[in-house]
Amino acid sequence: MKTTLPQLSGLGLRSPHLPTVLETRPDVGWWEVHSENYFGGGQAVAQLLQIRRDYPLSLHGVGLGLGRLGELDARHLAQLKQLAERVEPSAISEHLAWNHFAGRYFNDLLPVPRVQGVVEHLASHIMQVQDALRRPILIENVSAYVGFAEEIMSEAELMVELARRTGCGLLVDVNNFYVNTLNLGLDAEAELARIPGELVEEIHIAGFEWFEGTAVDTHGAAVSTEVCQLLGNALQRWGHKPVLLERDTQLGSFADLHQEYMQLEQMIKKPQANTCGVYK
Amino acid sequence: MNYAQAISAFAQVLNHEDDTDQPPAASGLHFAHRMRHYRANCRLNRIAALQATFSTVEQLLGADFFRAMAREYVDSIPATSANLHEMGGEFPGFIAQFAPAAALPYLPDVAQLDWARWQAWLAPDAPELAADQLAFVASDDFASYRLQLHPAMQLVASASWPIADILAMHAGGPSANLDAGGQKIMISRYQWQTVSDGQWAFFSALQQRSSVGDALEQALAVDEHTDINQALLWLFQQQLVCAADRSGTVCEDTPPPHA
Repeated sequence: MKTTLPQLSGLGLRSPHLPTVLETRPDVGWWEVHSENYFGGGQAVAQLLQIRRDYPLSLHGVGLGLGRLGELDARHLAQLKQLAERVEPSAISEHLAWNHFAGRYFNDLLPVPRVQGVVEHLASHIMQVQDALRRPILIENVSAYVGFAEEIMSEAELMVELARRTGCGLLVDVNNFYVNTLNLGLDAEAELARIPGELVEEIHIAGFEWFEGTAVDTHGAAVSTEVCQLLGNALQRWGHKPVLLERDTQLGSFADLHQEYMQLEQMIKKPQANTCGVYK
Repeated sequence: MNYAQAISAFAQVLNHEDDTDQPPAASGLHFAHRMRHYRANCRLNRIAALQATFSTVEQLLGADFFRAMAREYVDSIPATSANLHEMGGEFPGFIAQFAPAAALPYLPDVAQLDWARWQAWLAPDAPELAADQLAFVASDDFASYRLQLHPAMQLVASASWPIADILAMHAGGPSANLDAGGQKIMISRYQWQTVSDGQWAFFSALQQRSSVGDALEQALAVDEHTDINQALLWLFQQQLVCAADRSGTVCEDTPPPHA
């Protein structure tokens, strides 16, 4: 096992909800936070440690940029390592993305070109992170708005190859595969079918929004019916997996988000009570 | 096209910054017209980070003006960190040069204050040395000690503007009188307070690892009536002293003899 996450659903935890969560200790299987939000000290980390005492926790990085050219940022990696040592998370994940070129950072998750050399490049960075953290990480597929010519493999194929080469686990984001279906014309169902269940350690689902004819992965809407269906099919193939509901923008009350979470949990536990998509 | 070439081509189109133009045909990218979504994401993520950090500046300007100014900033100054929390170190200097904000000449100093408070909030944790752990130090010896101050502690001075009054006003206090002159502030993790010129000199000297005695001397040179007892009380009350040492002996690890 690359993680010790329970086979339950989890929920993304964002700072506006922290006071409610600390006060009410809601029924949630586990929480996931963005690692970079806890690179400092003070109240933020103290509250995270309180959460950690009562729940399993997953650290999800958005800034390491595994696909960047050149070296990874040693300070960023050291901060991640220090945080991991403090909170002892059940899982640590990063995106298959890059964010830096020629001295300049791009504060977004840019897609990795799956061209000649991609496997070697990413495998070396993943190994570096795993060596530093002394544990396997999970790598996650991203949503993309543009594609590269001369690609030699699909994103699912890249993930599987990297898992085999580095021993990392996979975090499969079903919404990202679906967004790429809408934007780039790939076949999400086929991509999911390329991933063997034993490599999947975690699943993400979230909502996307349309902007000027492009599906944008905002994590700012309810999960779509199509994504629920893809999730249902994937779980049928892979068996139970920890599934995380992510919500980052247009964050409403915690009660609303928790209700959506409970519906997801119901759907996964009792398919006949399905309130999301056409899971069977 | 190999991996490095593909990344380089993508970065070039991303940096092209013209959402209306067709991207270079030889970029090797499909759907390259959608690059504007990445530009928008990078821009909006950075603007949101600036809003979180510079909340007093945003209150002074209003959300629309702030967003317009923040957009100019992110478009002219490339990001130097993957961590959005580290965004904005050059923002106070940028504001000082930003002509549309010239009507609010105190804005750069307020921005510096917001930045310092953000640094205090994000600083790493550090051990706390309680005052009674120094009880065994003879009062004559204390002057020769150097204090290691908490990384959260920040000092901000404005030569011309009452930044403490402006900050208090935005926390619901009385209206600030802009003619009140410059003010100096010490910031800890969760608090801030106005300090006198002498106290500011004392804290600055301690931060630069002067001994307590040397720092005291510098404070009294600025103002012979400087209230040093109050300054020391603040340091210990706000848990800003992490260690004390003399000739390389760190007090934090040395239990008091009576313990």
